Amino acid sequence: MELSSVVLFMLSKMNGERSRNACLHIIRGKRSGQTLQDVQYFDLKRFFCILPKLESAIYEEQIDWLIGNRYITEVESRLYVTDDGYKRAKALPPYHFNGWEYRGNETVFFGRLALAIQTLSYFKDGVTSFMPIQTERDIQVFVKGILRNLPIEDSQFSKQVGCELKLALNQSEMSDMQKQIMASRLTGHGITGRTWEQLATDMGRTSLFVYLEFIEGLHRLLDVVHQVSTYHFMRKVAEGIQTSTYLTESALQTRQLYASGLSAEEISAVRGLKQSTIDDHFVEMAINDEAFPLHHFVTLEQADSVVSKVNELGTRRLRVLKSEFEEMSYFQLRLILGAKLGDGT
Amino acid sequence: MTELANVLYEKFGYREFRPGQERVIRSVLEGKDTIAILPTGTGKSLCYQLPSYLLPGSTLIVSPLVALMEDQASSMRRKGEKRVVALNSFLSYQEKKRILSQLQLYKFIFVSPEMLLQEKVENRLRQLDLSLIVVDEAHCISQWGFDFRPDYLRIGEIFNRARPPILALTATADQQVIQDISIYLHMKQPIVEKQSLDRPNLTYVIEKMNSSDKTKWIEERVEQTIGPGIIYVASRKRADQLATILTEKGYSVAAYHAGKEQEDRALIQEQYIRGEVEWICATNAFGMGIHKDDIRQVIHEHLPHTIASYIQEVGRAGRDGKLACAVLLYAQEDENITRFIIHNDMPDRFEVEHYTERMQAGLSPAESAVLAGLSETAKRVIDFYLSQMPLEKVYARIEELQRNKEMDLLQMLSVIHSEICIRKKILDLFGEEHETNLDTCCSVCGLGEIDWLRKTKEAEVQRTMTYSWDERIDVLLGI
Repeated sequence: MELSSVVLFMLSKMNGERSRNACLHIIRGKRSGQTLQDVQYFDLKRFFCILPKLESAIYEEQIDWLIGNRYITEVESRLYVTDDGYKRAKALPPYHFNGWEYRGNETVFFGRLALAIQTLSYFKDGVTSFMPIQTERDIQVFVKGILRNLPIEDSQFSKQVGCELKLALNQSEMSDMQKQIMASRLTGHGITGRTWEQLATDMGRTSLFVYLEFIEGLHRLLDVVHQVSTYHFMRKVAEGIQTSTYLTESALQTRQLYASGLSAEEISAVRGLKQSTIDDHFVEMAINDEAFPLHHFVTLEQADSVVSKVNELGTRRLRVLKSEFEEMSYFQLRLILGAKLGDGT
Repeated sequence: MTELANVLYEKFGYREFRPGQERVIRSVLEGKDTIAILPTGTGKSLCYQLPSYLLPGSTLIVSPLVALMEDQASSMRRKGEKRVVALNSFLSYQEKKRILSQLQLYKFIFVSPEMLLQEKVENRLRQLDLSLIVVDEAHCISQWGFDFRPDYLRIGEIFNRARPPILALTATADQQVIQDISIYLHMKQPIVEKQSLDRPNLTYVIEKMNSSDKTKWIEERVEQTIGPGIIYVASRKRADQLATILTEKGYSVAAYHAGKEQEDRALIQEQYIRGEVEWICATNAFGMGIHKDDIRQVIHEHLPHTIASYIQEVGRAGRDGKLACAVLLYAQEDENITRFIIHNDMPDRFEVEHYTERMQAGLSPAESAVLAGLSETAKRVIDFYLSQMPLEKVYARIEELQRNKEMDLLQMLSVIHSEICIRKKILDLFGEEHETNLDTCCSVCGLGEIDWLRKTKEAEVQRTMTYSWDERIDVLLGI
């Protein structure tokens, strides 16, 4: 798939509400309060962190292309989708990313899978020495750990794993192209995997196109692996890949300190972090934690009036809301938006 | 059979030593400090592995490149030696702690120079019963070498008192480097075993042309002559560009450089070793740890910065002993381009001044280096000098280094413009005598048609079969 189409789709959800780079931050999975709010408000969670290493120059190319083709326009450094853009966005096939759940960990899963399959591929032929495709220490240690207790020298076992993999790929309903990419990135005894560039040449696409297909395919694969309990092998490989807490590690610490009775200012001092960072943590909690005590920060009346103002104006832009509620701080407004409108409805 | 020959056969399965190996091993067993200069691919690691089996204690191997270290350690494990451990920065804290506590269980201990400097590691090593210390890639200790590693200088200091013999291993070293190795490792009248750098099966060719003609020359070369081959280029960008051009013409080519992600690099290496890719367009990142014996050609599109690196790169061809060819494409402007790159890589007085001022202003060394525009390597070198001498001396030292780099370049150019046999010229520069009488020597001696290089039939490149996705999985897992 084309990154420009993904970006257009995302912009059609945000239409001018957010800055030029808001989309880039989501795609990269930036863990700032603002981005975490954006994915909630605009229902873009699934695109969160799909390309953690996306270079901004590449992102800019997509924006320029979209502007050049009049799918979007830029007014006062905000990006608005044109009628043509909306038509195009509506015609796009649905995206099946699930970035919010995997957050870049899907490539760790594939690294483990590829190393495990490579090991089985060699061991089934009695070859116990080969250059590992993965040099990352954590992945090597993990794969060694799961293979230690499995009959990896038994050719029946490798067949079993192969069947499980094929079944899961089919059941994931990913496209044939995605299956081809998955299988081609695996390497083993007598059959070498293909590089991104080679796959791009094979398929007559760009490397980025192929890579995006790969990531979406991986999300679909992981979704079925998590749903179906009979994928014994792949469930082991996927251990710990799904995000278990939606709060960042740092926000979790702030939550604990707050629960133990410290004020926001005290937490800032104790942790040696800026007040704005601690504020971001609270906004994160407001979005993700159903039991967030919003009433510690604002009155219920304030919250209700902000919600009705948002519905009335049809915007969540903070600057606009701030001018309506001058007595409230930006922090308070963000908390209300997060807690009350966090699910994007 | 002698005892050594017995061990050689029992432990390694060889009937005979390669040239130089036996003398190095005997010298080590006699407890003498030894410097062994053996060309790459001639069994350097055997020189310490074999004596280790005859010595009571452990062997410590200091190795500069983590990747190389891991490669050697895992290759030993594969061959059945399980008492091997690699201490490097890849280890987690727990792993390191565990390994250090049971270090005495290992016969072969690989360690990176940075690790060696950690007090805990150093103290632990002092308690051990070491029988031999090996310094691999020992030319890194020399400030005149092309990859000077300041950490290496401290090896000599650590093991200054009662210590086992030191074996220094390197592929290329001239007189200056040999002297540096001996001094900095505090060696006691070392035995120097030097094998000739000459590779009789290698043909040297220098082609002078315009820069703009190089691509076309390479295209024709790839079309008409045999691989497998490596084309060394100056930059990552050029590696990608050239690989694309050649791929579009239908040749089997891949690019390799440090900018590619790790999996892709591993895949390209594997494809190349298996013959699925015939040519590699690479920066100098390609080569270390690649075990491929049948490379027939190495082409340099750019001018290497030193003869030592040139020798190492062309030395990857023809490991199987069959004829192989090294071609260097030279254009007049290459001289100044290379000079510019070299000086750009080297820190100058202004940058060092900037760097030290920033640090005095309270910035961290890392930040200061970035602001002063120092590369990581440059920072490492400067830090070392600053810890050793006053600023004025550092400036003087840098200027000296600059001059040395220039000397290296002039040496390289003297080979390019040589009117005598290229082989003889190169060997001269490393202090070796050589009388030439090979038919396939070099472009100065005259070559005529290099028939053996011509493609006779359509190249038998093992093209990757086009499998469907489920067939691929079947093949991978034996279904």
